[in-house]
Amino acid sequence: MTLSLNERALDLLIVASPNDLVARSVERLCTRAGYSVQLTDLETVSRLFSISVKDGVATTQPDIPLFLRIPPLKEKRDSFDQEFLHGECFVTLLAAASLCKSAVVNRPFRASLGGRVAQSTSITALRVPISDVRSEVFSDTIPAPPEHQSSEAWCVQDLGTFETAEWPAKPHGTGPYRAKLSSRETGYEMVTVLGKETWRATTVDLDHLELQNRSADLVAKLQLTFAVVTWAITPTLSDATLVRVDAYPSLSQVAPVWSDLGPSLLRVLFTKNGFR
Amino acid sequence: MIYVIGLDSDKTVLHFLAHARKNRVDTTLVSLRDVAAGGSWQLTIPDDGNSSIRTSDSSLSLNPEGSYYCRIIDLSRLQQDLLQVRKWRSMISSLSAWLEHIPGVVINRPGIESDNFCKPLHETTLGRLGFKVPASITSSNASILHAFANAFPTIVKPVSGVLSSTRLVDASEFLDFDSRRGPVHLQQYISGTDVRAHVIGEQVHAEGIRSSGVDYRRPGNAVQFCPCRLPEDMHHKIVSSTKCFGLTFMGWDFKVDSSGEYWCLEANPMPGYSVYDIRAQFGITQALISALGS
Repeated sequence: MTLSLNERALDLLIVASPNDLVARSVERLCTRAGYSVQLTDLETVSRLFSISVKDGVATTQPDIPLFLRIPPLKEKRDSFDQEFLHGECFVTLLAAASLCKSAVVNRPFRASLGGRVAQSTSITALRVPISDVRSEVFSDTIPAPPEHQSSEAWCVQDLGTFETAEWPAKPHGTGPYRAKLSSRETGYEMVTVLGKETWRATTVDLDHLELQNRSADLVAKLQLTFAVVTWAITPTLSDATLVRVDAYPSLSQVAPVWSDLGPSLLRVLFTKNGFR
Repeated sequence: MIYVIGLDSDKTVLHFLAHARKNRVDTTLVSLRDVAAGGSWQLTIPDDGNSSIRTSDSSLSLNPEGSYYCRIIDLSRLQQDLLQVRKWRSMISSLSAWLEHIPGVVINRPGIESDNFCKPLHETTLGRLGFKVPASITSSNASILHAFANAFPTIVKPVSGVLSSTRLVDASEFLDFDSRRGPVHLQQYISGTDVRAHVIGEQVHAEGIRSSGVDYRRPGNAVQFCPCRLPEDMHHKIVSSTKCFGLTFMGWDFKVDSSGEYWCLEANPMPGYSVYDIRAQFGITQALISALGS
């Protein structure tokens, strides 16, 4: 793909796979609002940037809003040279997105694209920190469940296929695995967070759980601006525990709140100090 | 006991083990290659007292209150077999996550992200910490690269943390530079003496290095090493900056120019220190062993 960037003509760069539905939706949203947007790949976009560091102060050119949905590397590398070049492009974009003054969703934090979110929800929760953290087991073989109540299921996820099954069933794949107990009677709520704005996916009366405030606080502590937080809700609706934080939410996660999220994204990306 | 987690082919790991064992310090090597090849692991986060790791011939229960010297190197990208790729990746991420939150002594604790693998970001961080940093440009643009290399004596190095030696470049190399070969990281070359300083907690072990070449690590250079004492303010600055990074152990690289000015080139969060340690009469390893509580 060739991209000749005219900084004045372009209002936003989206770095994503062409098949990324959220990226496509943001592209459509911005284009319909009259902005000039380019959705492009990591390597093309990284070569547009020049980062100068003088007296320890960085200047990034062009300095343009970025919406990042960088796809992960292929599991197996094709060649050392190709991977080296990809790595050079990746860190250049990481630096540009970290150091530019324009809005970046999500801006990298200490060279991490997903803020402080970890693969393990337990670690994410410990980083916040949240005191009530449920154990997760990581193993190269399917771990046997600990003693548990019949209302709980031992959920095992294959870390290759990311398929989850309830013990004693086995997830499709060859491992390694992670496993944790979760309640069979649990309901779930998703909260989309953009800066300090939050939207719940359902209209169930859960105000007493303060999920929106808790989600915004959690996302800020994880050094993110845009994420979806999933909570497990007890059958009595009396308590909520963290299930996961998605720094790269899927379209199905944000679709229920898109009509509110869209205008806020436009403001965040194109207004100075757009985060409320 | 000190658990040493790393590769059985890593010179620094072998150096640490040899010196520790010579001094009757109880150590156990957790060889990542053995675990990935024929072993297994079960790690609980937060730890429940049953976390363990097994190689093809031995099993090791991991004490969350223990002491861990970590040089965790992920070889997943070198594996040909997809199952091995996944095994390596999962082993590294779960072990790192487990080590991040155990109460024991971990040097250096994973999860504390250093930006050392991203040069423009790292140089900006060093500048923010108050170090004098050589000017640099990262670009794929031929005219920008040419203009920079024309303004200073200039060296080239990878933008990322890939290990490579540095070399001087000439501006003319960028006249017809094809942007598809980029990005390129150029840095103002500072002529002078190299200084490598290892910080372990409050201790600093520094060495001056005079070389006939641009990069003293390249073979063929005439190189002289001598122990050196950092100026007091620089000593304190690297100790406090290592803490700022959230780390116990770092290797700091400086150039000292003819006026005695210290230019910071980088701070390495996982320094390969064995060759410096031999000249420092094992002071670095000894300080590490002390910091690990043995």
